[in-house]
Amino acid sequence: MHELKLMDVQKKYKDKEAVRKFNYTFTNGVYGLLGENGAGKTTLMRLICGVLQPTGGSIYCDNIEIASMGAEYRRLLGYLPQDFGYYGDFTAERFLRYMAALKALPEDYADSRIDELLDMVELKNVKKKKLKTFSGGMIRRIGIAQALLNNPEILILDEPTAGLDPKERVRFRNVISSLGKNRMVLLSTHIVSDIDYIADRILIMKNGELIQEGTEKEITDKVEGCVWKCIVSEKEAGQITSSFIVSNMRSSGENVELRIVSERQPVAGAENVESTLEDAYLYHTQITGGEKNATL
Amino acid sequence: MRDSEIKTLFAKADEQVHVDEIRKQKTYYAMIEEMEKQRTPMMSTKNILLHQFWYMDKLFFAVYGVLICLGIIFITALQYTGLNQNGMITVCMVGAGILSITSISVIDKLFFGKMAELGESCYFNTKQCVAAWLVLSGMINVMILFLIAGYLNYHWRVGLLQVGLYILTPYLVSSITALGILSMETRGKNSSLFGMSAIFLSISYGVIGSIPRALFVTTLWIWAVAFLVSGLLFVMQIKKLLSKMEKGEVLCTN
Repeated sequence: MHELKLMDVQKKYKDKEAVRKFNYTFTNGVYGLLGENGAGKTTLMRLICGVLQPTGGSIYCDNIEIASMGAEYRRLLGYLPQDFGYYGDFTAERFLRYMAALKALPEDYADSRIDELLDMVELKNVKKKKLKTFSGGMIRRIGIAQALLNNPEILILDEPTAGLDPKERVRFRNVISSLGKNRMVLLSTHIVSDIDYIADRILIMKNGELIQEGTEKEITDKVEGCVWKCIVSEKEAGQITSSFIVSNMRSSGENVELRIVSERQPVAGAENVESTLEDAYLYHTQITGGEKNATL
Repeated sequence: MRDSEIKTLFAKADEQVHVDEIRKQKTYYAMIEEMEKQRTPMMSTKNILLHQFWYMDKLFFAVYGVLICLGIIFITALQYTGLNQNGMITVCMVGAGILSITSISVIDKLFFGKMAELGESCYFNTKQCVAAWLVLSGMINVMILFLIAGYLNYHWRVGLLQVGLYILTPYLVSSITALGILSMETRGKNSSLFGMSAIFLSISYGVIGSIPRALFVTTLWIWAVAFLVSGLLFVMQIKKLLSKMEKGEVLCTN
């Protein structure tokens, strides 16, 4: 089991601070990183992978700074970037073989691992096809396969479910759940339902900062009493959506049923209901202002 | 009972236990060996390079190889066109510049772009791939430039040092420019930038070659100074590129 400790990690670009004083310790288990687009998730993952160097603070793996571990640290890693590149003319199998070479995997080990993983991501029957003929979901699946090639002890997945259809997402969730038992898995998303079931701990980022951390229950408990349900007319619904965070809206005849996240009762007659992770996420990322752009 | 007293008791108890240092070492190594067995096996660096070369996209290598062959054929054909010594040196200067830009643009095509970020997280990372290709292509290029220098020395009776300066200086200047493009944090426009700089520098070398007395022995000291300065800048540019790759921004495309 490895321990990854982030101490006051900072990343500044020319005019923007993408990650601010991030402190956290990861051990085995599945960690879900939630945040709006631009919250700093990708930068944080790049920092953890050693692709980017922090402008402040340090990252330690088992109390050794990752920058000084070099290849020994990368040996432990499996990484799926958000926008992962590939050579379009490569077949799926050749791409995985090329990645296996970069990961220094011996040929016989790589052979069996590639077969196993292609089977797992259900791409075995298209292994001889060129990547440029693959759909977005298939590319994502081959990306997941390459991340798992070296049986990594630290697995970092940036928006792994982007482009996957519902069936693929369910299968992916099951795979991640099983992987998290004996390694560290960190996956980022802005789709709350992706990590709702599988993450042991959830981290919510906003403007480069860690604003909330805990189990799903711990996070949802914090917004207990702040989620309301009400049925209003369409006209009233329009007014409410402009002044409150509405996490769900459903038409029922001439009226509209709203699910509202608010510290106070939004309208007379609104009932308090049990909070979900989606509500908590909206509460923490939008209650102090900001865009209402979470994907639920 | 205080902590110090407990510690003393434990220390005294340990004194009674005889530790066989040889067996202790053996157990330690057996433990390390067992732990290593449980880890994912690894290849040697030589095998990593061989496997990588075997599976990588070889189209750009082919382009580089074809260009070298075409250059050799072109220079050989030129001697039958009645070109004079200065003309031939100028052509070789232009050729050296194009050779340098082509080999560095291969790095851009193979290791930069979208694969760079993913590659950087691998055991043999993008930085090592780039360094390996810089060394390999540098060796091939220098060998070709030596052949050209030998040819100019033997066939056109130009001093070896003189011709070395004439072709190595444009080679270094073009390398500095190409490495500068590679260090830029904007990706995707590089192909055209490499092409434009190759054209611009080729014209510049052509102009320099056509200046009267530019290739005379009396102006050799200017070439020597230019060579030393560009050599220094070349080393600085390599360091800058590697340092930028270390920081990482240059590898991340979005």
